[in-house]
Amino acid sequence: MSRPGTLAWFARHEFRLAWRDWLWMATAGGRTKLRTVAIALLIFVAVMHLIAYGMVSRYAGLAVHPDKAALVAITASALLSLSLMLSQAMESVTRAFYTRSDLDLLLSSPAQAPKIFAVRIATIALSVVAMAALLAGPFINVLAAEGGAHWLGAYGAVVAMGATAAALAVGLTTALFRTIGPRRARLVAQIVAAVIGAAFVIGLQLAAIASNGTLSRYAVLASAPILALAPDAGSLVWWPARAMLGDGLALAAVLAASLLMLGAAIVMVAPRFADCAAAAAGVTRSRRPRAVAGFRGASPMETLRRKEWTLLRRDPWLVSQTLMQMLYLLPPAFLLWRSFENANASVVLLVPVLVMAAGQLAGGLAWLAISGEGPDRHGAAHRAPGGGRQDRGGDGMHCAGVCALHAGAGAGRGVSRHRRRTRHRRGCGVGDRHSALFSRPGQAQPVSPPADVVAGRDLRRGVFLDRLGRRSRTRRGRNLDRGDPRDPCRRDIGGHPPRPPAGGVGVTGSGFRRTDQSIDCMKPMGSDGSNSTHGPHPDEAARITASRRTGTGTTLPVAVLRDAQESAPQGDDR
Amino acid sequence: MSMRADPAFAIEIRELRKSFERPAVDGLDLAIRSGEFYTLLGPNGAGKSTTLRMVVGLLRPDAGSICVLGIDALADPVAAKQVMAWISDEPMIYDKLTPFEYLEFVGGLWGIDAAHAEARARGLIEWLGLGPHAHQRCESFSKGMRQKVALAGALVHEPRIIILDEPFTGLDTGSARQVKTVLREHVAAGGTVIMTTHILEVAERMADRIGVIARGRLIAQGTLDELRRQAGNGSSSPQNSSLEDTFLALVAEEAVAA
Repeated sequence: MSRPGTLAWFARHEFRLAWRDWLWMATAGGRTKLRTVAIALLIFVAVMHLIAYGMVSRYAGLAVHPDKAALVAITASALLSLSLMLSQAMESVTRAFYTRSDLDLLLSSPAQAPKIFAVRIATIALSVVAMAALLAGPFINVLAAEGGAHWLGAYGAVVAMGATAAALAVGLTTALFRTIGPRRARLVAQIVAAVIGAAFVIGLQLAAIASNGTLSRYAVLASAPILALAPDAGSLVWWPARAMLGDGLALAAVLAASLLMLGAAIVMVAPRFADCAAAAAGVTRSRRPRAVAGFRGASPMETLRRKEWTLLRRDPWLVSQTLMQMLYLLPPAFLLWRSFENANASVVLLVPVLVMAAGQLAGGLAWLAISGEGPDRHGAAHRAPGGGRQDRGGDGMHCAGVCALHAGAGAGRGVSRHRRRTRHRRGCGVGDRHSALFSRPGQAQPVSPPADVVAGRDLRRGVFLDRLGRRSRTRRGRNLDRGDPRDPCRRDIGGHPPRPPAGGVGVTGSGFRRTDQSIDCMKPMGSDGSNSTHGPHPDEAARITASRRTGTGTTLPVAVLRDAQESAPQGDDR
Repeated sequence: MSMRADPAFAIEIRELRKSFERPAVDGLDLAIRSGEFYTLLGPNGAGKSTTLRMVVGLLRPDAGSICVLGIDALADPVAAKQVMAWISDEPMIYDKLTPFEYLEFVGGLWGIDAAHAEARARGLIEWLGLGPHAHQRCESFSKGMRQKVALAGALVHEPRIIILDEPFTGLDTGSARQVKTVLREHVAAGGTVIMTTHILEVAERMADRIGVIARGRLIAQGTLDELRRQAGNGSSSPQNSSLEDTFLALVAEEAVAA
């Protein structure tokens, strides 16, 4: 066994945690048998190979020294993959900076902090490579089977790209951290990560539409002007592409260069990582207080609506996520505009785009509404008898309807209906009274404000009451499962088991605790004496990563609901 | 362990300053004697946690000096960390490790000999009543059990100083009693305990001396009686006042002075 305190010892520790996390996740917290998981994995791999066969087998015959058009196409694909890897790596590095997790333990120990962080940065690189290899593996295997073993060199290219992405992400995030400060760096890094991931593919699509009027990215790459601009086939620019095609020399050079880059990033950043993490711990979100004239009188409905908008506006995660979804709508909008620009009805063209936008937004908001944890809060609020028919899925749609079109909201109503059904099936759901709280469910409870001040239906309009509730609990740094369960860097540390569900679709976590504790740990700093977190709410981050639906702009409310239900808490707090 | 000559003070802080957007710790002077049970009190945002986090090396001060058992903690943080243990209000344990594995890891972090650490870990696990759960993963543990595991982690490397931030938050009565016993025994064995708490009854009963921090400065310090005298200037019956009255009076005086 390795000696304590050495690089190998830390690596073993990280690996053990990552493996147990993965196993826990793969077996859905031990509910699924390992054999079932293995079979599912095998089926997935087989299906991926079939898909890969259909897509790339015809390219297997590509020579090690292909023509310029092929080199352009391969390089563009590699750049696309690299941008996605960079996006993933930046997210991981940001989390490593801002997540307290076990840093209190590690940094209060006499162990060498740079070693710990060197291992962590290497772990980020490894996770990026593993993810890329998992996705690219079937394609490489098919090409190798059809075209020869030289294609296996592409695995080396994937490793090189992963190392490069991790090195770039570490450098970029650290630079952001140092230039704009820890407070702004987090949001900016999140946005940069999202934009990097999306910009390249969207840019290609826009170029394709502009030149050919199609959504095909490769049409533009194969066009004469691009080929004319591209350097000669012997240029160094094509070495990564050659490495992918199995050119031994190119592969060795690309691998060596990328590993050197990663090594340099580790050597330069790891010793300063502790300082960055400590600086991140001091981050607060206090801003210069705005002069407030006083309370603005309004109806209860208006008051709640105003509060909702304020919370939405102040949620950087929601803003960046929505912006990204809008970004993905650019190509179809541009395509429509190109196709119908002479139709003298350009305003009409806005409608389908707005419908798509509203649909996406509605899906996202519905998801937020459903994933809310605070049925207890809803249940505890005064409700008129018989007022529990409408649920918060519908409330989310109300918001979306305000934002854009009824079309979007209509899509979400499906959630409402579905939820109603599932609520009956499951016995209690979001917005239901919990039997532990109410001895006689169905009766109004004497909790302020009284019914004549705020009607129950108005209160239920408050989708984000729950988010508020969770936030306030978050500030006290208690009771929350936080973070992305798939994050290989995550450390299940601190905290205690999730609160028992107060109603059907509550939020459960993965056992991930004490992430984002940076701010909580630094209680005194806010100008208002409070602490707050940046970015996605950790529960939401976990959920969104788990479903990967909203992030890719393919939110189907029912699917989201299913996700929420599947991950609803099962056990009790002990 | 890197033991130096036993100095009179376990912790000696001079002119400590740390600002974020406003001063969090503002010229704090504090001296805690070896073998003392010292409790830091103060309103929310007074700078208690920030001070302790600087002492254990989790934050770097803007100015000032920190000496831990005669070791300059800013110049030689590794040696200072070697003799300290830090327990925050959220127990720092890994969900995916068992208490036994966790103690092995912590022992490794502090560079304790494996055989010695194992024997000590077994003893601590039994002492804290964690025996039946020693090989279960911590993910299913209650807050009290987690705090006990964290405490065992702090004790496994036999620190001279234990620093705790709100250790009783969320603990049930039984667990709180056990934690108190552990801390008392540590002091009885010659160790030093420094703790922040909002539970004044704990401070009243357990602490040898109490320090009151407000606005990043130490505004009062001493035994309960000394604090009462300090707060009772002009009040009718200072000797009968509770620590709560004393604390509120001291903080109010400071607010008026500011």
